[in-house]
Amino acid sequence: MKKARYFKKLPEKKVECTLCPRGCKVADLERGYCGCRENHNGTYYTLVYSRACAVHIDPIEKKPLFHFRPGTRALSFATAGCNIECKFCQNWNISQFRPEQIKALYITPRKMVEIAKINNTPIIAYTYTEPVIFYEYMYDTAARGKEEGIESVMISNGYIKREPMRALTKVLSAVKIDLKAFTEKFYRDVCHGELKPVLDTLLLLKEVGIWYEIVVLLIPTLNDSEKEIDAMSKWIKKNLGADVPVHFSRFFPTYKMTNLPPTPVATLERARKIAMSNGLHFVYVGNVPGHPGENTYCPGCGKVLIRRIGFKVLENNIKRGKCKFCGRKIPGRW
Amino acid sequence: MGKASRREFIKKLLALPPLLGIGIKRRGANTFSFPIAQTPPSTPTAGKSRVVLVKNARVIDGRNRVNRTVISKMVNQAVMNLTGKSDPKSAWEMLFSPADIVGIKLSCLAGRPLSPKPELVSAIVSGLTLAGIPEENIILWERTSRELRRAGFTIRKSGKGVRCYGTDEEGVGYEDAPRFSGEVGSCFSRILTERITALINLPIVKDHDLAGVSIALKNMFGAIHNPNKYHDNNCDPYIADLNNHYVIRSKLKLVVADALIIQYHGGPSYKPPWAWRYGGIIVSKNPVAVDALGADLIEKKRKKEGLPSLADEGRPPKHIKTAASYGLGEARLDRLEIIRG
Ligand code: SF4
Repeated sequence: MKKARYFKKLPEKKVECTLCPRGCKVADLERGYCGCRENHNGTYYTLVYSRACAVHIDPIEKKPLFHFRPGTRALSFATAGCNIECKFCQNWNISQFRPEQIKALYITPRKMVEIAKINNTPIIAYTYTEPVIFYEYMYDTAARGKEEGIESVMISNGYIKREPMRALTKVLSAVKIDLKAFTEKFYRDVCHGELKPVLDTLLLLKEVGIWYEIVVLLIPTLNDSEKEIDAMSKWIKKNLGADVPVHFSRFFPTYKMTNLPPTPVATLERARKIAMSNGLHFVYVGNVPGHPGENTYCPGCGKVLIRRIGFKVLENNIKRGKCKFCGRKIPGRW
Repeated sequence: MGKASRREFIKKLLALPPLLGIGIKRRGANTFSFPIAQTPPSTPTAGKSRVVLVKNARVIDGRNRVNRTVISKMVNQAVMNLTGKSDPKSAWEMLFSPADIVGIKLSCLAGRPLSPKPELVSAIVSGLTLAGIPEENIILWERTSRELRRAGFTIRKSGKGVRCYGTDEEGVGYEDAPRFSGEVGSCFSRILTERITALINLPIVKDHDLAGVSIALKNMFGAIHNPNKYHDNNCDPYIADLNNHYVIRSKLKLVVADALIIQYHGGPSYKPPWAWRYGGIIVSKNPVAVDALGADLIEKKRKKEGLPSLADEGRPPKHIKTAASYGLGEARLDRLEIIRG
């Protein structure tokens, strides 16, 4: 067990967790909502430090990050737990369990960086479950990696308080945020979370200038209306700018949401069209391998900059951060 | 995973070609075998309003040691009063059949000072053996073996005698898919769903910082994989939803609440300034009745000690009324048949 970095002590040995907006107030011997932080005698501890329950090497495109070191691989890991509960979670059998219910390996931050180096992965990705809940583990690994020339990317729901997120951006190189929907109702009913703090995180990421991309999983009838996509993409354009990549991704039924069909490809195409017509430059279709919406197109000349199939990069026409055809600067970390 | 195998794994990881992958689940594969339980027909708890409260000042001394003879008499007395039988054997036989595999769900979060007393558990086990149940078909269980150990129980997964282990043991775990009851969607402990035919709910009577009280109904949070997801709104209606699930309703045969020490404030952990040596047990077939009576004891004690009511502290035990509204039992004290022994 390692002492948590963000909490306040309360009377009668209670604590208040100040890591994520849920702000759990936790009695002695109890845990917060995420199930992986525990109060012992008035001090809060993380139960998942150095306890990786899934470790893989993935293409960075799988995160998905399309404008960040395309074609590289990332050592990707998770611990048990999550600070929200999406009824459609693909990784629910680790994210929705408590640490003692899932087998884990003891891998320290130092060892994780060593594994990344030995396997020639220049990036470590904190992913699969919600890395906010293994904050200390992520932070220390990213800091160690930075010293050793390994970059770190956080694949997150963005449900985190401002101060810890700001501190984290100092050791990260990129962030992917899942914007689950654009209504509080969806966040409340389907994810047991809130929209506003996620939007605040996006604003913070823009403010600090770190690279970030947005993924929106479109679920039939729940968050796929033209009105919602229109409002969302207008908000992004106005507050984050035209250059933030947005991935509209395809839903497949799972976990507590098995009563809905997979998202029709036409829905994703329609969303892409709306977002582009609202001025966003880089809008992608996700989870549809082979779809032309997977490619990056130059907003200047319209030519294909990066051609992809699934997570594979087939062609890359970005040279020194610019379109090789028209010379336009392409946002990202190349 | 032991240190040696961990080292081995790391070694392998370091030596691996670039693509590697692990995704590990504890749940699933059996590494030791158990009798597989058949689910009995549903026995709704509604309408069972009899609740027995047995108190004896001699059952627990000033150092919180429990007198085995006294607790044993209290348990048998309670079961006789509950069933209307005049001898313990007939009483236990009315509640359980020799073919039952009985799981006793303990409540061991708070460690030894505020978990079910082993002497009370022994008395219940003796009663079950009177009903013809072999000790090997009795399982004391909790979420984790660690919690059981910390409460003073010895882990035993095989061999002769009563079984005792947590859901976290290798080869046990939780079911692979969530089951639903109201808003609660959870994977249940395989001990509850696969290994036992009859359930005894053995909680502590204590204050709870979110739910108001944690007695029988709340104790079932220990049967699911994700109790931390159901803490909003004083855990209401989640506690009631969970207890309304068929898996629990169909197997629950008896509730024995340990009220030897009642934590009337500062729960759910043990806080000596508010721990009350009450010397009682509350027994019923109906968890709602046990909770209603237990919550009343807590409220009265709080009032006597000058503490605000649970409602005034923003944590009324709403789940008890909600459970009653589902037909899980009677929550109104004036409608309960309270037998004091
Ligand atoms: S990180 Fe976990 S404990 Fe902390 S506020 Fe969020 S859900 Fe609660």
